[in-house]
Amino acid sequence: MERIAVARTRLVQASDLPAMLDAAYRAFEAMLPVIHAQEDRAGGGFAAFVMAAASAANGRDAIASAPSLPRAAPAAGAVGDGRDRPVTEAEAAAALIDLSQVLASRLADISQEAATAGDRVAGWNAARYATEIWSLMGGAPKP
Amino acid sequence: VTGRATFWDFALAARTHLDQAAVACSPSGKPSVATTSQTDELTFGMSAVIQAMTRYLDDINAAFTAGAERNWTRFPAWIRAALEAERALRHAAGLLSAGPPAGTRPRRLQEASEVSDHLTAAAAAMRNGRDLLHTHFTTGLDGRRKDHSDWAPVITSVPVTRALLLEIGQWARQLGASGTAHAPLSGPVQSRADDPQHTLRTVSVWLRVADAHIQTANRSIPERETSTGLLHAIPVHQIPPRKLPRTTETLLGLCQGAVGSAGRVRYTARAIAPHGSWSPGLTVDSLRQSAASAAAVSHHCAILLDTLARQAARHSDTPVSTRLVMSAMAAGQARQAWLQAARAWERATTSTRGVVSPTAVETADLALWTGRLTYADPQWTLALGPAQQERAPEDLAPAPADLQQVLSAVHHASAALNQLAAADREQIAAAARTGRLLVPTRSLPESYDSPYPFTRAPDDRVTQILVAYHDAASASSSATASIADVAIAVQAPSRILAAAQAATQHGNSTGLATARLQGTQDTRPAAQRKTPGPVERTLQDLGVTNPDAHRQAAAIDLAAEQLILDHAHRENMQRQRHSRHGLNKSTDNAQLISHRPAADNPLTAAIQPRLPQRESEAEIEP
Repeated sequence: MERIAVARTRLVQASDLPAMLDAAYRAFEAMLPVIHAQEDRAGGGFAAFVMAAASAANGRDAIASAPSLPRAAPAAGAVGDGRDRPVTEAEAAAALIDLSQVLASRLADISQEAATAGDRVAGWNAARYATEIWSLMGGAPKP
Repeated sequence: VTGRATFWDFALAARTHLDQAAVACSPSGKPSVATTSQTDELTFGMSAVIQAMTRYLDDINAAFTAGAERNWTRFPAWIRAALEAERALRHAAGLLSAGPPAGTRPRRLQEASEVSDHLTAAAAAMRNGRDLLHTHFTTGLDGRRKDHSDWAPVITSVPVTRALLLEIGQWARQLGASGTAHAPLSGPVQSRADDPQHTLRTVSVWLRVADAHIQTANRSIPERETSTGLLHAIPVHQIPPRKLPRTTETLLGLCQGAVGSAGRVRYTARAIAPHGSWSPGLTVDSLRQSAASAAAVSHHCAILLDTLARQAARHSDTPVSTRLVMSAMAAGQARQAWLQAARAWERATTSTRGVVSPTAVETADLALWTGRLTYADPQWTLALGPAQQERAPEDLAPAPADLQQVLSAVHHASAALNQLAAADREQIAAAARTGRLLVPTRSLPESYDSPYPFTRAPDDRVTQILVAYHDAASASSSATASIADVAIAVQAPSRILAAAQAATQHGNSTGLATARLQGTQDTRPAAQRKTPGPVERTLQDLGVTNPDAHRQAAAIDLAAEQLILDHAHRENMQRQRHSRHGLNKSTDNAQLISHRPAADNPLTAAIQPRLPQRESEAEIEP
């Protein structure tokens, strides 16, 4: 969960477009190990977590196509230390809801304010995937 | 379950009308003096029926009819029987050809006659049955026949071909009874060749000859009753419409919905396979969604099987409970394999993105159907988040019949994942060959310098994906086989899936699976069980007594027969390149084979009186 917290902080603190895109890319990447841990438990939310992983990978790829994304590869150990304490499904879902909500919000900003069409499209697509994750984790209002 | 017409509907209609024609020929049960008019109508009806039966045999035999005379003894017993039966029917048809042509009612018959009505209705049912079988094939641009559904290889399999011959033999026997009732073999014989009574008598003899050849083959190499059941279960090829579960769905409705959804997954997966690397649906979005949905479906199957096992244990059915536990474990392994396939896509992408294929949509639908079965909340969706409560065993299968239905739904879902894994793997391999698999450049080491955001996937990542799909296919196949074992044990409707799979496999598995499907093993001594084929016979001549060697030889003999049949069908269709001869094209007939005949349809009523209901297994896809 530490990596989720770090990714969230980085996302909130990013000030310019390349930094925001870089933080968004890393945020989607940070979601994957948290989701994997829940998939391996095969609990009641298995289906939602496995679909959320697909959305996280789609979101990351959408950001990867943004022209303003810095080309540098993420530094090793940049997000968390890889030794997160075990969490329950509900805790993981809550963390993912929170991060995906922030992600969707920042990416929506990019989709409206970026100077180039490529960045706007990337931001719009990635925001859509962040919203999917938010919905899959139970963030959407119950019917 | 699906309301689709099956071959049984038409086979039974044909049998019923043939029986009624025989009764109408001799209402008192004793031969009566026939009038010219009665003889004409019988000739007219028999001609139509023989023509319909001959078309079936033509489908089976056409390719090797030309070379049959010089290679007669080289053909396996059943193929020889098919050739002999066709020859007998052609002799019979030749005798009747002097009369009015089939399809033209004799002018002498002013009013509809009961005998001719029943015989023409029987002929129509036979033609419709043949049309139904042909819906599973299509003709490619090169004029060759192609399989159009999962049932196609079942229809051309050795066991089902033999079962079809047995059905034709039965029809020939019944039709011969009409002729005999009208013109008894023991009656006064006139030697005049133009005597219609004499002609009918001779036709009846030829019909008996046709049946005798088929029965002889069956005595030589007996075909199991299961094969007949499989033939009868073949439904018309029709894609069930897309449907999503309602919140008011009953347990049975959910089971039926899952079966229909699984059928759509199979159909769409089958349809994408030939498109290869250029398929517009070959996007990472589709592949990620399909793999994730397949993992979810496997997860649901594992839970459902485990819940069924607990319910069986409550009823002290330990053997079934144990098998269900084993199946749940196999489904759990399939879930893990699909999970690895889904994760493999987290490190790769495709050259086109943003499009979701019909297969991916259908697989997600299947995850929704199986999820509704699994969880207690009738409004369950993927977006409900974690901590969902599973159905209690007593809610999932309150009665044994419910266990059968739920197990069938699970069986179909698992079988659909088999086809999905194979189709996706084929597509991915084609995409890799044409450089359509990419990775984000950022995911590669810094030393990898590329000005583009995505670059061609390194070989190790491509291999990782292909291996993951291979494992997913293998695990899904094992899970399906394990579930099939339970389906057979509890007589679930989906056991027909196992029979269909066994029919298309060469070798010993066919005999073993069909024996288990019957619930009995053939206890006769080996020597009485069947006449060996050429390879097995050679082993016998050499004095080989090793049972394994004999089983292997029997498998080779069966495979040889299947090879001949496969090529015969292929060659036959090449000959028919420009004419799908004999197929009905009328609106009425299309309507008939598209839906289970309805009582309020006058044409249906004419063809199919008093149809008894078949078991639900007759309406499902293999």
